[in-house]
Amino acid sequence: MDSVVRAVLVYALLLGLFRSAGKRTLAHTTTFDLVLVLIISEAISTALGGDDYSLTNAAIIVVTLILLDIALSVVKRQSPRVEALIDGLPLVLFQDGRPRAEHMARERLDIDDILAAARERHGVTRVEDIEEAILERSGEISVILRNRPSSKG
Amino acid sequence: MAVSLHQGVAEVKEQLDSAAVAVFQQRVWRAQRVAWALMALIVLAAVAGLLGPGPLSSRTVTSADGAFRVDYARFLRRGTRTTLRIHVRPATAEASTLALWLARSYLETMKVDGVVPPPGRVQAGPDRMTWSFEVNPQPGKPLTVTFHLLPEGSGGLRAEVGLGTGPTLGFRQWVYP
Repeated sequence: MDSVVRAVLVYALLLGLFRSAGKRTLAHTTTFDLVLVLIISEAISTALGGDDYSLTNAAIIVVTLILLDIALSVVKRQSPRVEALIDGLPLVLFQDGRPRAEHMARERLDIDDILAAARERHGVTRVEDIEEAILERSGEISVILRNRPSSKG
Repeated sequence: MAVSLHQGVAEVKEQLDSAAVAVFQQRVWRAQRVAWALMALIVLAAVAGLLGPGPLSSRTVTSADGAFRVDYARFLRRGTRTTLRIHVRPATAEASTLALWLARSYLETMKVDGVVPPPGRVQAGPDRMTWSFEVNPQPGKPLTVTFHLLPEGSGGLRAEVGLGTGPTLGFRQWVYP
């Protein structure tokens, strides 16, 4: 019984914390993000397992966590409101070739982050080539390039 | 080159679209649903106490003459502490010493991690280990002795507890790995 309760509490705690931290916090953008994930998992593992090192305990915790995730994904599919609450919504950072300054500031992003995404995905280095940039729910930035021949500017 | 590549893509697409793939995918989905149901059952069993501590795991047995009763957990986990609470009826504990024993066969798998209150004397016999306590009984109030135990193996266990040379009690426990 303890194992299930602990797993549910840890799931809720981490969900709340990561949601409050923002999309970009643990999107593996820097090396330190990875280090942070490792440290967090280390810190939480004792709370999750308690002083019970049995195989049964580990199995119950893992099953509970996976089941919670499946249940939540089913609920999210049925209710867009719940999905927005848990996963957030995609956010427009660049529209019609112009940056949305407020959105970028709120998500603690700047033009360099968008340019980095443009370089990685499209090999594009100039701001002028970017038509749209969207901060996805996963924390990744997707970039849509300007179609040069038909573009106005 | 481009044409052959195109043909390759078409072939792959055809393969992926085939009825055999669809049937396989249906099976995978069905198997997944079954697995989810099993996982839900595991979680329910864990909450109920069938896989370790919980409401369905806590049991009490009373000796035939009512001299003492034992609170124990039916389902344990290997390497995780459990307690055996032995409540002795005051009439039986009127003497100034109280002797309780556990079967040696039980203690082969169960490590005694502590006894509360601390015993005055521990005696080892061929089949039994006896703990003797100095007691100060009060009429109407049962005396309680708690054994903190650590299961060091897994599987079924048969426990035997007794009061001095008097009544004995036996019960079964299951230790999950």
